[in-house]
Amino acid sequence: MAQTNPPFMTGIPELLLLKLLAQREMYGYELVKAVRLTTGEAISLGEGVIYPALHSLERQAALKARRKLVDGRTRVYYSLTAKGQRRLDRLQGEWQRIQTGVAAALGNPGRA
Amino acid sequence: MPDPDFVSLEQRLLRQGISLSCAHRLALELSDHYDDLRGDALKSGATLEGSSFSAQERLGALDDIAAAAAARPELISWVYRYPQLARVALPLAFVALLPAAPVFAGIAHAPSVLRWTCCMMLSATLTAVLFLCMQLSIALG
Repeated sequence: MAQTNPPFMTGIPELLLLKLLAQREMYGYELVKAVRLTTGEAISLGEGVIYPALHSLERQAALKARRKLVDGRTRVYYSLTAKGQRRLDRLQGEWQRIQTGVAAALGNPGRA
Repeated sequence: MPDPDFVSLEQRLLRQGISLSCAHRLALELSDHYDDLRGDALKSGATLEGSSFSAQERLGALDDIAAAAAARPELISWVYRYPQLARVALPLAFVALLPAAPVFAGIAHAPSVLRWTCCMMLSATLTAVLFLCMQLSIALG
């Protein structure tokens, strides 16, 4: 089974999915490959569980899905909506705030 | 190694209350993903058995996927979220749609309805011709 790092993963898959889909529309398998590639395989998502996450974001109107015929196969492509973009901006801000805090704590263990 | 049973997964998702369209699409997407994983494994030189194994390993257990879907309330059908409302609204909707049901059925099965109509007309014509022949044989005989 692919190894994941659940204690640090809360909210990260969503952030990654939104970030990657902000660049271009992709289907599920493409997205998983993009996550592996862009994170240098540091973050390994359970590949199957990406779909409930995508459907959930779609239900919340952060993503929109459309079927597209590619090489004789129908793929479901996901793209970011304006609401998704706002959510991405918010998540990115939160993540950067946490990252700065953790980096400061790790850099100055005496103060933490 | 047998392939994962995505049809069973879809049925399981439906039993968990996931909406019909979502459960169907999830099963399709997972099946496609599995095919892609196997395809890539075969391209990189894996055996048929090996490709199935690695694809299943990377896709994850269907139990985990079903649990991940069930953990997201927004994927649950409104019928499961508001059962009391569904108990009132669904029968009313069905009663309202009942008069239109034959029309919808006719449109959905237009070729069958057309064939049936043609057969009925043909048999009615044949019967009429037979009666005419009998009538003529009586009248002229």
